[in-house]
Amino acid sequence: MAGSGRFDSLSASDLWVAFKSYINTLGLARQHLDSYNVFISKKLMEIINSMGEIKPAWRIRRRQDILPLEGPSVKIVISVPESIDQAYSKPQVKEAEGYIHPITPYECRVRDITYAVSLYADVKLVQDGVEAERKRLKIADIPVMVKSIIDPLSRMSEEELIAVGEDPRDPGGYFIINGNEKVIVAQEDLAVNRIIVGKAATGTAKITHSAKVVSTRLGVRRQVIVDRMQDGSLEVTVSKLNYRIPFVVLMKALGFEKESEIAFAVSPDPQIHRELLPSFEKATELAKTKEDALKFLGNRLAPGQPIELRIARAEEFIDNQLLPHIGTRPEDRRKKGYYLAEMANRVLQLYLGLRPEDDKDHYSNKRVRLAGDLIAEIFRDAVEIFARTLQAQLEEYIVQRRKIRLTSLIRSDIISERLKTAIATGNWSQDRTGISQALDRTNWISLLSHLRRVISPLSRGQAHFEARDLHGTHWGRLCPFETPEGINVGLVKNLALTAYISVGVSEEAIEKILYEELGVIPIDDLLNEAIKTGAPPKIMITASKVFLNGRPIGYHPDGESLVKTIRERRRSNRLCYGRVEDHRCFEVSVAHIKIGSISEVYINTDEGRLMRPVIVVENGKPKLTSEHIKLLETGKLRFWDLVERGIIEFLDPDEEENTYIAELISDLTSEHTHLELWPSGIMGVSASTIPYADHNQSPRNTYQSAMTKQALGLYALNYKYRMDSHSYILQYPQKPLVQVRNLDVIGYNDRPSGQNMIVAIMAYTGYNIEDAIIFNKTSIDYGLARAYFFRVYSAQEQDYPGGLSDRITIPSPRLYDHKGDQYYRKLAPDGIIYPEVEVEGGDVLIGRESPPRFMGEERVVSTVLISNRDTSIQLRYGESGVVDTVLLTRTIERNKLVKVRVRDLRIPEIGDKFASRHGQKGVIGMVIPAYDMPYTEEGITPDVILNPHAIPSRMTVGQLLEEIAGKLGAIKGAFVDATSFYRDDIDNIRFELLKLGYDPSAREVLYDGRTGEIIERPIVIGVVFYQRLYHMVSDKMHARATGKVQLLTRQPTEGKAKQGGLRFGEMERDSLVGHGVAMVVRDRLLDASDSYIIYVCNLCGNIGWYNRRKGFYECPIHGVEGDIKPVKVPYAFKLLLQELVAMAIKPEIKVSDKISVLAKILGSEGSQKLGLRENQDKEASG
Amino acid sequence: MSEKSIKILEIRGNSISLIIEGFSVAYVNSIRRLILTDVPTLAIDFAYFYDNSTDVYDEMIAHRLGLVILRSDIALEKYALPEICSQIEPPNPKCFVELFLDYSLGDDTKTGVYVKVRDLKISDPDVEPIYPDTPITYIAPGQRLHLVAYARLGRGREHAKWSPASISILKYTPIVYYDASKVTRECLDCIAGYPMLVNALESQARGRIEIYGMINTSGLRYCAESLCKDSIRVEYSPNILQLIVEGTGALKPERIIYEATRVLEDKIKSLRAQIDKLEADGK
Repeated sequence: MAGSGRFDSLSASDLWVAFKSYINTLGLARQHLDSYNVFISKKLMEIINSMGEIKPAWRIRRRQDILPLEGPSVKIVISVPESIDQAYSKPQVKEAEGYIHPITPYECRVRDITYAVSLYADVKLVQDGVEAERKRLKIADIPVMVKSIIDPLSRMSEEELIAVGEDPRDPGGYFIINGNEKVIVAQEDLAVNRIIVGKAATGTAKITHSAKVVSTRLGVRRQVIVDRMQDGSLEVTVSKLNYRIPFVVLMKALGFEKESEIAFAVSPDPQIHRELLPSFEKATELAKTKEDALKFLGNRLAPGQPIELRIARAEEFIDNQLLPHIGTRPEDRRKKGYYLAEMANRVLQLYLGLRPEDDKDHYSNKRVRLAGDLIAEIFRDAVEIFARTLQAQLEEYIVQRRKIRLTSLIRSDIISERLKTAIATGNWSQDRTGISQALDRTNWISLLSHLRRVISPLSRGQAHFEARDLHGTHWGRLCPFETPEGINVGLVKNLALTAYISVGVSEEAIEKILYEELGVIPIDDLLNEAIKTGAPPKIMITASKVFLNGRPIGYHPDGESLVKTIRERRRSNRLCYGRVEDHRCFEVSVAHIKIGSISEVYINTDEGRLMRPVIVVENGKPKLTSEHIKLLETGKLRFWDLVERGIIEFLDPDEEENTYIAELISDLTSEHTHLELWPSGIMGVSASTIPYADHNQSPRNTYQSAMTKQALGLYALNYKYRMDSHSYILQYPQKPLVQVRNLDVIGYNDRPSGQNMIVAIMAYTGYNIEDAIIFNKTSIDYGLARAYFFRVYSAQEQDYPGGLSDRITIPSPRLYDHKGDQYYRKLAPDGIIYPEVEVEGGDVLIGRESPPRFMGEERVVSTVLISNRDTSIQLRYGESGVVDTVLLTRTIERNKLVKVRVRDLRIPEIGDKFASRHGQKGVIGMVIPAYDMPYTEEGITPDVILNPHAIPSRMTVGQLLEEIAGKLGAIKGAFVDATSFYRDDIDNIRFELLKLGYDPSAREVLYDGRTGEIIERPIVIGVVFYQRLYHMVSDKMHARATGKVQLLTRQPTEGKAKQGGLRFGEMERDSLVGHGVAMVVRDRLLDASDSYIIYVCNLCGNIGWYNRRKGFYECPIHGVEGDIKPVKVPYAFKLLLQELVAMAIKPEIKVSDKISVLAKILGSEGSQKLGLRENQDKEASG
Repeated sequence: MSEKSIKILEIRGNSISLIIEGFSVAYVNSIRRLILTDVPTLAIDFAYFYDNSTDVYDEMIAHRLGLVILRSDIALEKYALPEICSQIEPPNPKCFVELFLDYSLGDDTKTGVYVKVRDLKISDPDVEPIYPDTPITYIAPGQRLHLVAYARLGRGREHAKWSPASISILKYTPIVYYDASKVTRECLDCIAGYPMLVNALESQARGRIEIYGMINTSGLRYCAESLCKDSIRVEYSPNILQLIVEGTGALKPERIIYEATRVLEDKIKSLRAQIDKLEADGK
């Protein structure tokens, strides 16, 4: 109804259009790309430019008397060009021959190189105040985040992407380091620069309440804690100072000399002033003036130094170590004072019960640190080292009086290597590991989920119950289902589909608007008035305190109206100017928090806040209308236009506290301020695969979220051109018949990982007990759930010192470790296997000879000719397949690199694992041909027979609903919508089934295929989307009789890869001991393991040996005279004896034959009865 | 047991429906099963690839070729039985039909093309693909698929591709007893999916109808248990059996049943012979 805009009402599918345009506009790796883009375009430049001028550090040299007191005036100035095009090259690599070669991600993955651009800077050499040289030089290689602004891929059309070998829908957001794809996983962090108040933990006797803040500036973290002590006084703890400073003393040091000044800075409330008395009392003895206070501080910082130095140290400390985020200049001290006063205020309010404890787990107190932020950290360190190295080099040049040349002075590898190793290993500063991880490419969902993961760095060992709990503020930000089980539960999280992470807006601009245009009164003004009159001005009591990013900046007479004005300006895009997607001022969040008499306005502009889009509602009507939707659909309106017009806005957890959000359109009342954009957007990518998720028991959704990442599917369209070390492809992946709308925007429908199967829920043959499933052999014959497994083997010709190198060739049969002719049969004359050859475990794929180990240059001249080694690459033991692709290339070191991809067809068999989309997993227990399967009246045989016991206790009602919906979909030939919260009504689906002549609960009459008899009870049979998981028997099945043993202990090796034995463990041993079957124990633990014969001299107890040359046994002490007995022991025991000897402990062994011992016990009479003869000269068996 | 009778309800295209009275369920079921397992048909069992530069792997193409349905009626007489041929390697003309394919597209071609089953050149004119438009794979410009394949007779027991029928069912005849006087409005809505019953209810007050053919009675059963509790009752009678076979097209449906009965006959004969031998030995 065009033109009747007033009467337009929104429908669920209208909201879907809006949500779809949100996801399609931003993409699923937006948070990484945004963050990295800011690093590239802003932070990196700032860090380099903060390096300043690099001058030789003469002081050190002076002490060593190397140079005269005044060295030549030399300095180097480095600055990065402002334009991105000038600062960064295209992605490129320098080949061994020296030429520069542009690269694509495809080439990097295949050739094991790093996808990086060169960073150029203008380097100026100034000598004696005159510019001596100026050059644009490369100072580092910066790894490129795929699809970021410096990646040409981000500007390519679909056709162009295909042409360079990419999957056009690949989300990007990861790096390629040495050919490996790496994600920098988002790290959850406690919000910095925010005051958090809390009661002291029980056990800290002296403290009752405290306010904490972590102040961060340019990667430097300094903590400040204001504690209220048992005696009522306030004390401050600052990191880098192991001493509590009385609060008032510190305030005085900051320039707040009058007590009334301090009191009013803290609060205009007389109640609070009363609580400050103990602090004032305490301070009067210690310091009266600013001078005193600084002295007090200085005495602690630099004891024993002259007074001026002490004071200077104190001032320096205050500027650089105390609350550095506010500033590091002397003029910032006053601001620091206000901040500290606010901390004191909050502690006392908490003590007086005027303010509740802050909730640490509230997401407004959390920030997410992303790739750009984390790389900046490494980059800052690297630049520091770069500058130091440059300085040292410069000094060296000057000392040696060499001519300074910039090209030889600037080394680009320092920064490059640090960045590369950090991302390659995942090791960041402060022992943080696992920051970057190898990208999970099992299937499309696992890829996206990995890119949207958020990790909390809290220790896994401790309980942290609250931190692991789902919090109200997670709604729409983090997926309520997707988290691992076990130690990481609740610490590893995943972004919800709607989540948006703020990039950060300049604080200064907003501060200026607040003061100049919005009537925020600076604290200074009011304070001066209060000091003048001796009482706080009235406005100070009634007004709201205004905080910008947690920092008190002033008062506003009416917080409510301030918040309203800011919101209005934000919604009409008048906070900043230009396009919203460029300035991102929609990220500015405001919240008016009123707790009793406390009235505070929070304005947040910082980065890393988890935000979510909602529809603005005015007078009970959403501002989004179906008119907008029509325009969106036709592309006449962009998502950003909605944000620009204030129709959709982003809320951070602080601002969300001020809202009343309707979940559904039908819930709207005039009190509501917002409407949910898309309720099932609260789930992440993994949980979005679940149809009818809102009908399942919640842990099942969690299980499914974990399991869907193990399903085989189509992980990328360019899989044929990729050389992933191992990967799986499902041959005929299908779009699920029972759809979840979110799947469309995720791209799952184009790269699915499963098939629609006909599932009957019944007991049949008994081969599906305990979660096993019965498969239809005929369906398998037709190609159901067939998959390919790929493994890539690679080898290169490495160079060694002394001009030696590997050679890829058919190894000579004369080599000492030649594996036997049969394994090399399939090699081509160049030593590399042919494509499409069938191979088995042990077959050599790439033949290679390597020079002898440990042969350095110095040993080349040795007279003994040591032969080469055979380092051929063999197909893994127990695997087989067909050689798929043979790839020959060179590394950047110009070494020959060969990669061989082997593919193996995996037809489902007994023991393979499958799962539906409801956390219902099971292995195939039996494969039954169609003629033995039950069939319906229409001759349909199920593909899968599931045991009914799988349902009741797990309460996966969603699976039953999917079965019904799937059946209708199959009969009608249409997809069914099963999105959580918004979808086709199940009653309609049931009714439609009935209309078509089917039971609405999907039950049917079945006949037993074996006898042809009817099965009287109705059986549920329908269509369910099943996933084949990567756990397959053929990868795990293994057995051996005898085989490889470990070198050291001579016990059987462990594990399938090493053809190991199956462990006969402690508990198994216990059971045999319990049965009293000593000979079986002996067989398992000795004879079938590391049985060994040692020769023991009975005279001295030492281990002897057989002298082959002389032909007799001898003992180390008695020689031939020894009484040598052979004894069968475990080799590990012999090893123990020898290790004891090595520790200067002499073990002695006494041996006697069994019979004589027995005789001794029984006495002569007893032994005669048993027919034993004494001193029987029998040796222990050998 | 009642009089033995077999009526053909319908033969349409590849499917046949029989109404069988006077035979035991076990007997008819054994025929049903033999249709799926023991009636031989022709299907490709070997494929040799000379060249395959398409994006579909050899094994996948081979699997698809195996599922190609070939006309088998004449072949059944011409070629040796599966028991002999499964031991023999191709190309033995006694057992194997040769199928040849060489398809390529030049680099200058604009778009790719689907290679279809009709592109296979078959050595025996009596053997032809039933669905020649079945696609095998897509060939992009510059790619080539060159192979020779061999088809032989086989049985469904070995692999489903040799099954002559995709559906072979035996079912009891559903009998619906109704009482129109007790039918409610809701009940009529419920059984709307069964027009013959609705018609019957309109014409006659009480009675029974037998339901023949591929009709799913699960909805009816649902109604009989809920909204039509008093007016409708469904029973399944094992006395009137229905055998419904839907062939793949490799053999005519009548032929499938004929061949199945012949296999059954042979099996019984050989069983008889064994028993006779046992008896002879026993004396």
